[in-house]
Order: sequence, then structure tokens, then C-alpha cells
Amino acid sequence: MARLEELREEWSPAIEFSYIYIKEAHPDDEWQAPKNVANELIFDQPKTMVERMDLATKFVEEMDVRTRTLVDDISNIANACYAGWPERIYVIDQGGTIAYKGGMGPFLFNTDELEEFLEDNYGGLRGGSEATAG
Amino acid sequence: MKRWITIAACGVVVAGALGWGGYKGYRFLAERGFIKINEYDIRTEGILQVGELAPDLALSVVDGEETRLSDLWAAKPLVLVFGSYT
Repeated sequence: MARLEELREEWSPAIEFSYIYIKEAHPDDEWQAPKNVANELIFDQPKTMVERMDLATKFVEEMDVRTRTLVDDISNIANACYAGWPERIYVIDQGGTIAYKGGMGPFLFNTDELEEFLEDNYGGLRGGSEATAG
Repeated sequence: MKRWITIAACGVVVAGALGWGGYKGYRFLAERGFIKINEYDIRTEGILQVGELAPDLALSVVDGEETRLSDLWAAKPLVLVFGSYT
């Protein structure tokens, strides 16, 4: 999370960053994780859009997230389209084409790989404001 | 006697190699979602591929109104990160 915030600051304004808050990975009423218990991140899986929005808001506030955070519908339409669960990174170019699809989290979620992709494909845009797909 | 010690040592090495290989194989398949860890493991590689058009969706922003993804990627390349608090 902190690394993604750093990357956003580093690549702004050439690249847009956005989170999509999706279905919980390790809620207390499904597949709890010891790490979350230790960190007191104990939440049930939201059953309504209001519950998911409340949890997303809590996430943004408590993690001091500065990146725009969209919230998936309670029908999980964004996750169904993008196979984002539990976490995944995409880069989409200005034509709406998928330029990069990261590995399936958590094991293959790789911010170093994202940084390398941005450097290789959009490195020339850093410091400028006009972007062209790489 | 020496022969049996050699056979036993070889057996231990082979069993260790099979165990290690099996564990690495399990990890490889589990990390890529080919093996589900439990009933709540809904990881999937999905059907989207690099070079394809990204699905355009209208989603709510935490502190604002609805936004279309295409409005975000129209102005500049978009890094989209999926995740949750837990």
C-alpha cells in the first residue's frame, strides 16, 4: 500500500492511479487470517453496498490513502470483469486497451514489476503532462 | 550391514527429494490459483488479456459521485489496483 502511494506520487501527473475496493479477502466470517487478527482488522464480509462503502471509507481514512478509491458494486461486477480478487494490478492505456496485467495476489502481486513496466513504457512521460500509450 | 546403510541413506534422500518437490509443486499450483486452498478461495486468472479492451464500468467513489473508468483512462494511462482492507 505504502509503495503504491509512493509510485502514484512519483508518476503523477503523467499516470492516473486508482484503487477499486472489492470483496474482502479475509473477513472474520469467512477466511480469517492470523495477520489480520494480530492487526485488529476484524470485519465481516459486507452484505450491502452501504456496508462495503463504510468499510472502504474506513480503509481510506485509517490507511491515509490519497489515491482515488472506487468501490465495487455489492454484486461484485468489477471483480467479475477483471478477476481482481484478492488483489491485482492493471495498466490501461488511453485507448482503453489493457497494457499490463499483473499476477494474481497475494503471491504474484508485484509493485516492482509495475514500476519496471511504467519505466519501460512511460518513462519518457515523467516530468511531463501529456501521455501517449507505450 | 554397510549395504543396508547405503540403501537406507538413498531412501531418505529420495523421500526428501519427493517431499520437497511435492511441496514446491503444491506451492506453484496454489500460488497461481490452480489449486484452491479452501472454499473461500475464489482466485481466478480471468479471461482478460493484454491487448484487449478493458471493460468500462461506472463505480462509486468513496467520497464522491459515480465515475466511469473510461473517464479516468481517457486523459492519461491508468494504473488500476484491486484490493480490500483485509
